[in-house]
Amino acid sequence: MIDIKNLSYSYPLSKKRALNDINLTATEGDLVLITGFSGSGKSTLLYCLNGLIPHIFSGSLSGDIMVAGIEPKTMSVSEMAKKVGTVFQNPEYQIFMPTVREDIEFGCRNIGLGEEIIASNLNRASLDLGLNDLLNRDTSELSAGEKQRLAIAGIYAVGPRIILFDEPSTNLDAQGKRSFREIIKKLKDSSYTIVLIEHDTDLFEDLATCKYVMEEGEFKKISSIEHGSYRDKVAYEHYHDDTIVIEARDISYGYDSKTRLFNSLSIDIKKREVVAFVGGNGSGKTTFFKLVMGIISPQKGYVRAGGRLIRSINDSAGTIGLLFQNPDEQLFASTVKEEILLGPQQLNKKCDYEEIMARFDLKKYENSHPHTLSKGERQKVAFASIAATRPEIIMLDEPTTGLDEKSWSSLMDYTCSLVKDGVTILFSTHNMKVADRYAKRIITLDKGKVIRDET
Amino acid sequence: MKYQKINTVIHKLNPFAKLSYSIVISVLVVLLKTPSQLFFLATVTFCILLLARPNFTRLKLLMYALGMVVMATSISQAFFYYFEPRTILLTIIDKNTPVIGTITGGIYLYREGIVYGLVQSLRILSVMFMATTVVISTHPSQMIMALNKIRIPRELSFIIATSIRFLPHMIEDTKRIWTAIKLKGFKLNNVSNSFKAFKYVLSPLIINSLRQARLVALAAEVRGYSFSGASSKKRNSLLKFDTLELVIISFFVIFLYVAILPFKMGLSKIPFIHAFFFSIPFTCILLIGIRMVPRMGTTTLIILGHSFFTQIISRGINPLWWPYALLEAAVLEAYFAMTKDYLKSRHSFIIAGMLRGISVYLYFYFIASPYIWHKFYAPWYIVIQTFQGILGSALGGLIAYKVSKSVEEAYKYGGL
Repeated sequence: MIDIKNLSYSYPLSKKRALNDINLTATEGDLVLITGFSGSGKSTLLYCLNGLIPHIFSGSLSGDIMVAGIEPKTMSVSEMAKKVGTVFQNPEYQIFMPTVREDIEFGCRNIGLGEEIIASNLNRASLDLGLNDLLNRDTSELSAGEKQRLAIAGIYAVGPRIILFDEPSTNLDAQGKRSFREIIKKLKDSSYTIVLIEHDTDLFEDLATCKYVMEEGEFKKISSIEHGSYRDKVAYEHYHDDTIVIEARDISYGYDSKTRLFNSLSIDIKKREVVAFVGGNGSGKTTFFKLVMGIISPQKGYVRAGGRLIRSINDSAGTIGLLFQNPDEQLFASTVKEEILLGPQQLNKKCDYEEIMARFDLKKYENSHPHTLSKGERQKVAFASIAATRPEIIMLDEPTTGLDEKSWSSLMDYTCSLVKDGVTILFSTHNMKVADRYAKRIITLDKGKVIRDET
Repeated sequence: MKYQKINTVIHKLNPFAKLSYSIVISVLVVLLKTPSQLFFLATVTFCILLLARPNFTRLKLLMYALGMVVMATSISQAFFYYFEPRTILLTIIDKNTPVIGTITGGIYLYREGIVYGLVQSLRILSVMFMATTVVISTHPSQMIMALNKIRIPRELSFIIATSIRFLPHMIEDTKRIWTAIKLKGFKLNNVSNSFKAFKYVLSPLIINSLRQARLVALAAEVRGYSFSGASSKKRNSLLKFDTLELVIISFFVIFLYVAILPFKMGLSKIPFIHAFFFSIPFTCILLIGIRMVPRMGTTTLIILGHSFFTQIISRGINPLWWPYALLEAAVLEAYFAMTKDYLKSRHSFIIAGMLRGISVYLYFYFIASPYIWHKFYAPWYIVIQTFQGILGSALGGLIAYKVSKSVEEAYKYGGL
């Protein structure tokens, strides 16, 4: 089904090769698992398979690619879609229509299938992906897991025999990942050819027929992924402090009493603690963070943070810093310098600019536009701009989502280094490896209740 | 107003029938003249609205809004009425007052004007009843299908569908970015700080959306939806947009809607200067959008897309607004075509902004008001409002220039 020989590619205006001499074959029922650091060329390989390269991205391409007996460059992307389906990382961006039914039909209509075939494909796709009860629902009302299934259904309905997945489980919690694994298994068992790009390879290890690690556009031997991945738990013993810095008391929050998420929830957090919040989607991690920040207010109970009663964002601004899951949403200025100084200026706080720049190694980017930096660096600038306001507490909302291990290690290393300055750190994550390694205390939430709290 | 998921006679009607209904009512609104005819029209449209069983709380809100409209119309007409005979009820400014009296010719409250305003507001009532009926009884996707039947261009239909689809997502993004700027310590308690915050917020909002637009466009391509490939057979020679450009335009349609929401709710209640506050965000976002896809047709697609989009999701299909949008687009397209300069410099941002302001307000006061709504305004009032609109639009243009520069710098150095 897939046959790649000596494939090399570089993007327009780029001298570096994004792919270098790739060879790959796969037949029916094969699952090719590909992993590697961000920017190593994994997605680029998928673009070569579905024809986005060379039809959408020009650049220089050499070598031979045959997919389902066709050379992608000889056929338009939409024709190719009949043979090769592609599911990207974020289902949000792959759903186009207002209702589930229309969205499943969307791809079928685009490639010009007849009404009868569309009806039968819709039926098959919705049954196989468990969407048959949701057909008339508005797509914007679906949960993360449902959106994911819809994104796959839309591709599946068109009827390709090869399906490419680009980090599809990034936004899923543990349970979502398990049900996604089931879908992959079912596809493989019905002899689909699957190419799967994943950071979390453990989950699919046993299903994979072959596994590759991509590094700088080349396939490396499998062993290189394991190297240095084990690191000791960070020790915080000598930073003990009994002052309570966050006091959440008897918090009730929810739209009405039936669907109430929190019912008299109380959590105390001590100064210099590093607390991980874990739990599935909808367990209340993000809502708890919002309550602490004063973005939302509880119906009952109160939150005190850094000695102040939190009633609105104005109470927390400057005392608590929040790093968003997507740091791009908190980079406002047109130079890194302006960005770092913006918070302290607005809050009338002193800022040791040189110290911040040196600590985060940002001096070289001082006059660069923050958005021109790489994702890891953008996250670092966003973090540094928070640290510049000298908050007592820093919260990170799912900071490791979509990051490879090298990137999240670096992020967590500089985050946790602030503990020695007396900062308290809270972060939420789906990744237990991160929680185990960096947290001093792990709080597990489930449907708004603390079900485990271990130090 | 929003679509309500219930089942009534009106809900079951073919969406095309409802589209035709709104066109017929719009024509009648322009044609009917006598008070009894207008009263009849308002009664009929109201009864049809009741058939669609509007939610009671929403109906109450609508009635409140309509009460305000009726009051505002009759008060404004009480001032601006100029048919004779007219009876002075109250003197606000005597025409012999130095300066103001001379400029305005005196401001009086006329009894006949109140009655005239009440009658003329029946037109607005009829249109709003009609629009509400259509919006609460038609799912957006049905309305898009009906619009496709009247052969709106495929590009426009894609933009409308994409904006509706991504609206909730973009609202979430916008809220988060607002939260982020507040966390930076911005206090929005004075005008200059609010402007600064508005400028700062736009930059991540737009850069982020451009990043997302690329992902959305790729996803559309691999789902067989293509404007760039050879597969799109019915290629219009004038509109040569690729999928990415159309997704970007759709996002700007959403931003236009989102950005003027706070202005609609709060600032438009301030009498007299709302033209100024309303023009700033609208012009600003429109011009940034044009700058991001600098070519012929972008302006038309954003403005028409926005017009259809807001009508489908909240205002109700209302053909009376279409010429307004077309004129606004035509003036800007003509300016860009003549200068061949798609907002390359600061002055062209400001000129384009002012042109928009002039055309929109002159259309409103010299065509829409007298010929559609049959409302009168005194010359001094028109001058003040138009001047404000132009000033606000120019300021919007200036902010757009600054934000575009920052966004483009990110773009140029590969940040996207």
